[in-house]
Amino acid sequence: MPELVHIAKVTKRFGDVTAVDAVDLTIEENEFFALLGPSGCGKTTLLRILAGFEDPDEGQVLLGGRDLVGVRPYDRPVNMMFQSYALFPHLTVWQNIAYGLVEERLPKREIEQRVGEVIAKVGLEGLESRKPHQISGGQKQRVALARAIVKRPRVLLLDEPLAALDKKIRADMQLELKRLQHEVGITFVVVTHDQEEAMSMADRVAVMNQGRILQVADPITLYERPADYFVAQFIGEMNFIAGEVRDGRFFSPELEGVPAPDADAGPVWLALRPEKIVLRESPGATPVELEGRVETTTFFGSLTHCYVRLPGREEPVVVTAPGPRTFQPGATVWMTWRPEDAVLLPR
Amino acid sequence: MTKRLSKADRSRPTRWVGRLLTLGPGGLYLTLFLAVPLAVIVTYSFMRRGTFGGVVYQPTLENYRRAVDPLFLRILWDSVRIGGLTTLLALLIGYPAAFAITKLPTRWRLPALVAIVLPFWSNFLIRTYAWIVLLNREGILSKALRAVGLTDEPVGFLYNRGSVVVGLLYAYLPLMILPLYAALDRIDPALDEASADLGAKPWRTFIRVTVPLSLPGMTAGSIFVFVPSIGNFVVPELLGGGQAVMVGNLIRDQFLRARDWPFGAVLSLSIVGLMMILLVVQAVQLKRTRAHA
Amino acid sequence: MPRFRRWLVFPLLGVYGFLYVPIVILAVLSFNESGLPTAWTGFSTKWYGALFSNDLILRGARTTLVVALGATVLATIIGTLLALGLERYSRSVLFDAFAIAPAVVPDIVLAIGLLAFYTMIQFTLGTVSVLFAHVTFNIAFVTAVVRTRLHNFDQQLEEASLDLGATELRTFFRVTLPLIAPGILAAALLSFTLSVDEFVIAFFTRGAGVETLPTVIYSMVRFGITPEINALAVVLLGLSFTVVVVSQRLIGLRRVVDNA
Ligand SMILES: Nc1ncnc2c1ncn2[C@@H]1O[C@H](COP(=O)(O)OP(=O)(O)O)[C@@H](O)[C@H]1O
Ligand SMILES: [Mg+2]
Repeated sequence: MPELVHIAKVTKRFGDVTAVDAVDLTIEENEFFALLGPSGCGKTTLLRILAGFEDPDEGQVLLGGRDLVGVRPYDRPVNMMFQSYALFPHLTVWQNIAYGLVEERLPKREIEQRVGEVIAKVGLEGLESRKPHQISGGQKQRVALARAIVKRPRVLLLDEPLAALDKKIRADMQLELKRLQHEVGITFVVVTHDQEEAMSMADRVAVMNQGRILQVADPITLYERPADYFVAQFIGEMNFIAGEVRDGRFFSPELEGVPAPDADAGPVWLALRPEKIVLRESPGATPVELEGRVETTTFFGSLTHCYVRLPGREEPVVVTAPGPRTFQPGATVWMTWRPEDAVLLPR
Repeated sequence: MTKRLSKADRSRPTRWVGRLLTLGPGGLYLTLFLAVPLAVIVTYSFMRRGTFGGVVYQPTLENYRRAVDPLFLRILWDSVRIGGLTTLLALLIGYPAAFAITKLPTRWRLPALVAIVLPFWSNFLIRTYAWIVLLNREGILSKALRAVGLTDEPVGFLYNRGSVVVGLLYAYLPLMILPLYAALDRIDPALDEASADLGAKPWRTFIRVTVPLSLPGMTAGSIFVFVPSIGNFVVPELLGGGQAVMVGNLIRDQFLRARDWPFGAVLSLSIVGLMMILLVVQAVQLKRTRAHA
Repeated sequence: MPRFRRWLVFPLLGVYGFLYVPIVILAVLSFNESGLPTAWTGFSTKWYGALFSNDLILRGARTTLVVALGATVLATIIGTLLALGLERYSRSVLFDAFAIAPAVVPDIVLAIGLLAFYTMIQFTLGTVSVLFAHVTFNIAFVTAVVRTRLHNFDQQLEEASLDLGATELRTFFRVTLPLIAPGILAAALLSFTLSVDEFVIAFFTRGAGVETLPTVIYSMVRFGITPEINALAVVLLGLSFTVVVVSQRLIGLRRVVDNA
């Protein structure tokens, strides 16, 4: 896919805080892109730089090859859906949605037609003459969305678009956002701190922390092959074993020489997803094996979490298994996994 | 890189235009009609008086020397006492009223508050005049006392310090109640409950929680009442007769009768000085309450 | 919701009595045929007739109207701009203090300062000098009222407008102004009422022969009981109360109080 947005070495400081720190990022045409990271990591700031509300201190922002730095927000083919929705309280739903088209000085007929279309598309029929305070949270979210997409921007920026919604509506809206993105064929850049949201909606996800981009990848790669300790612990559940790689093997107090053929020598984390671990009641004949004692088990219906304590280790190892597996607390168990399921991360 | 940074600055001109357009007119106006006049007063306070009013531009400290004259200091002290008494009474009367309003059902609070402010919006002179009608020898109060047989003679209540205090209190009481209400209303009701839960009786809660937390409101209200009280010359004139001369009267006389503007300037600076001291006290107190929070 | 303790009613009623009894008495007396507080001699509206044929009062009222209208227009424009500037472009505490100072400085100090200033630059005292003087303190009140409105204003609304393609100027007229309009109107009403009632500054800066309504009232009440004043009191009270009620609605004080 052709490249649409190119962010190069962008840095933004607020006093002592470096909100965005030398970020490089490429966003492709028509993709659903997510910026994922904990609160305060600089996601909104990066989005505001794209929208034109903040000027970067350093770096370059290109859209379709055109340098955007210094271009005023109203001159950018980019629109934003605000985290607070920012609906104009003195205007009706219809007037809110038509707001940007009026600014384009479009003929009245075209405005009416386009607003009508988008109202149908997001399902706001019948609410046209309501004021923002007369509609529900989910409806406000749709107005904010309609108001932005009716402009047919090249990039639509969405800042925590689902954060203010109830849990149930949120799941529906995730699907709907994805459907809409497909339908309107606009590049979406969504900011979120919710990893499940990012993973379920986006084609590609950039994980941010403290103003830096740590990894950009599709959700599966991100889950299976995290590039970094932060990414690994931020997305999903992960067990970490501190150790060292020597001569193509991983060593730790618990493990003696697990094969790690591709790893560079040095201190590392061995990262293991809970569902990749197999629990046995008796030892097998494999070097990849740890003996421990079951501390507690928690039953979640479709799966069971098993917390296993290892000698000389403070944190229990989490193991998930499908269905109701019964291990008595206090029972001795052996854990094993396929070496290729473990990820070695620099420590 | 430097070139790109200057591009980023392109939005700055709109900022400067905005700044100039919004702050410019007001800044200019207040400089001309507030800062310069105040500077003129300060300057005049160091000049000699002209024979027919106005000033002669010869620097002198004479006006300040005259201002520490016991005669003037007594008037200043009198003004402070009358203003202080007014403030104290306003606090004693206003506090229970403001407290009561915060305890009203929610929908009654706004009307109750508006009713406190409404008289404040009628003409100040007329409100003062009303007390002449009330307290005059031939006035309503005198007649009422005679009607119930408490006295046979007409009694006048006007033309003493008491009537001046009543007039000032009447004029400025709402200015005490409003900040008190604001401060009391801001107190989290859960604190009352927490205090009760910890074993405090209602009046102990009032003393240990409510009063300390409403201190900023008490200070603000006191300043709002005290400062205009000591500068007032209408109430002492109309309700005090010649009996109570306050700094305000003295200033008025220097400017419109004695035509000694430099001395008048010094006198008015004494009011400004008092006001400044009170504002500093308030600022210190605010800082301290903020430090709590 | 804490329970209302019944005895609290008494201090409250006491305060209302103190505030309203004098006003009510004036209102009643305005319909007393003799015009004096000494005895009720029968119902009459003759003092209203006397009021509206009192040339001094009428001329004073006209001057006051000119001053109040002029001062309100100027102060509303300057004050609104100042409020915008202080909220958006300034972080200076000093400038904040400067903008509120005209409301804090005792009126007598401002009055003599302006008198001295006018005399120094040889500005002719009269209606215009009073008008300019009134603009000074009105700016402070307009700025304060409009600022509270702007303070609760969600600035993202302006960003949203820019984002949707409106320039700064278009955004000001399509979003900012409509949303702060009630505050501006309330500020203008406040400024008008203050100006109509203002005595001290007008007294010092009016010059010989120029009278505003309050200075006329002053010279009348100095000579003791003047029956027309009772009628004037009722008229002015009616006007002020109307303005207050209207402006309360506009500011939406209800919401402010409920939120607090
Ligand atoms: N206008 C600003 N002024 C000062 N600091 C800011 C401003 N905007 C953001 N920051 C700081 O920059 C950092 C990143 O903020 P933000 O981009 O809002 O994070 P996120 O959206 O990921 O939660 C935070 O530490 C925040 O406090
Ligand atoms: Mg954010």
